[in-house]
Amino acid sequence: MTMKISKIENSSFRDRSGFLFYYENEIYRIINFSYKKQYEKFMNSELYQKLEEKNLIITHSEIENLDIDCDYYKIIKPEKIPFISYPYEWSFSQLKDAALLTLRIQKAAMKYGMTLKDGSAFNIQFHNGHPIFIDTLSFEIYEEGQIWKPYKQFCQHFLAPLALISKKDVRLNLLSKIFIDGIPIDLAAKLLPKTTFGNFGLMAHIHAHAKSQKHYEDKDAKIKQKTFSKRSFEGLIESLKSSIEKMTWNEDNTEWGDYYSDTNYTEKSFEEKKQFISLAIDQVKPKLVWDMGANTGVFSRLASTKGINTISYDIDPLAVEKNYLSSSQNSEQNILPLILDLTNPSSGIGWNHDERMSIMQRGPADMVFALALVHHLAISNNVPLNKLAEFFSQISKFLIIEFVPKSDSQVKRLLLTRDDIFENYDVKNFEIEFSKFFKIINSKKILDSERTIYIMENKHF
Amino acid sequence: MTKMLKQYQVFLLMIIPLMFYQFSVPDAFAYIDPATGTVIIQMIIGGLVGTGIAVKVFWYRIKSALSPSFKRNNDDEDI
Repeated sequence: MTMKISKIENSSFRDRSGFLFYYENEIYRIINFSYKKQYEKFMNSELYQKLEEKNLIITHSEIENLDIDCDYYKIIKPEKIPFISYPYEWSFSQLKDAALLTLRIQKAAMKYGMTLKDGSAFNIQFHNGHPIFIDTLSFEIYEEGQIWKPYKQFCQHFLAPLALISKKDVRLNLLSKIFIDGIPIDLAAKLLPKTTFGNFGLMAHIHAHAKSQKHYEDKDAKIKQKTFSKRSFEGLIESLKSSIEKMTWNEDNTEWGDYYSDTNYTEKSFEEKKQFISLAIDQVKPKLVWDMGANTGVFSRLASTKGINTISYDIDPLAVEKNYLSSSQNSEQNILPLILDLTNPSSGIGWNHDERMSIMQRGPADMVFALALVHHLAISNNVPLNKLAEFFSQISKFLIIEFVPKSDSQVKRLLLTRDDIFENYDVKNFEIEFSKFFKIINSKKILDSERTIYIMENKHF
Repeated sequence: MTKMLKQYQVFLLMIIPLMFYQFSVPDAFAYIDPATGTVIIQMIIGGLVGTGIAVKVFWYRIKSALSPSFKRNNDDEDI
């Protein structure tokens, strides 16, 4: 029976070489006849095998017997990535690793007579603890004399945000959320400090690049083919690689304080909290955990070390950076640290609001942790308890949540600089509001603290 | 050698802005637009860095020919 393609993945419509679609919860990629020659070269030149051996590219299998209602050259089934993340949710080192992977793949492709046709950061995902290239159709046959077509896109998606974080302010990475095809070069040039004129990579690829764009924007320049030798092509890639490798993020330049050791727990109560969470994980056996407000991921690791895919979100880029560096150094496979501002979470963006998914669209998670978080949302961000309960009910099947009352020193600190307009903020109202959406399975007052921790089950899943 | 490379970089920093305005557009065989500025700058950077690398490789070859004990650090990734 001919199958009708039900849902096309909206992130793949730009590329005419093929597209992604879903069928029975599995993802497939159609390859059009226009990409036949390139795909054959990619597979037969051993490039794919080499990249696969090194875990640099997503693996795929060719599907023979899928009868669907459109013309195509081939259907492939890529390995499924458990959680899709986006560059504006990555920390500095995640973006840097993704950039270097793109260049490594470009260099590898050249060895087999191929080159990348785009340089998008959205071609990279984090899988099993490291970045991986996911766009199998991004390769084209290299022809001597051709320019590196992804140059501008690579600079916009990788070099500009990395330079802005490194040389100016980590928050400028959020510009990648506004400019879906990367931060415009002229904007990056304007925002970067003048000292970057002394940095060869940034001088050349950002400042001179911006000037060149401006200089030629209204001119019909005609360029002779075969003027870009292979040596120059490789020189360009080397220059980008060297510029990115040298980039560091000096965390002293950030406004973020060192509050990681500033907790309200004794060693014993901290252990007790960990035991409660660990036991809940063993009982529920989730496949996907979201730790909202994870800090550097201490509690996330209670899940990830049990082999559970765990997304470790925090609003603080420095916490996420530390979390990623630690997971990377220890080759941890199941934890993915990401930057997320819960008061304004990633929304659906791009064409038709549908190219990049919102956080909600990527859920629900089997289990959500909201530890030492509620008071920040309720007091600092004025979110009423019923709104909090409603939000968590949309993203979690099971919820481990900690209530932090007004008598807790952290809340007292928050209330020092604002009027206490939160008359309903107490444990009784907390339980009433959350019970509208969740069944409270268990709760425990944490030793030597004012806090209570709960495990709840969503009534509607 | 490191000093030479640094001097080369300073030279590049000086020459790039100059080349902008001196860059003569070659004969027409293909028409590339709208990212003309991007194409031209990558040709300049690629050309300069590519030449730099060729000089560096040449230098290493001379050095290893003159001194058999000299071995170049091969930091190239296998793929």
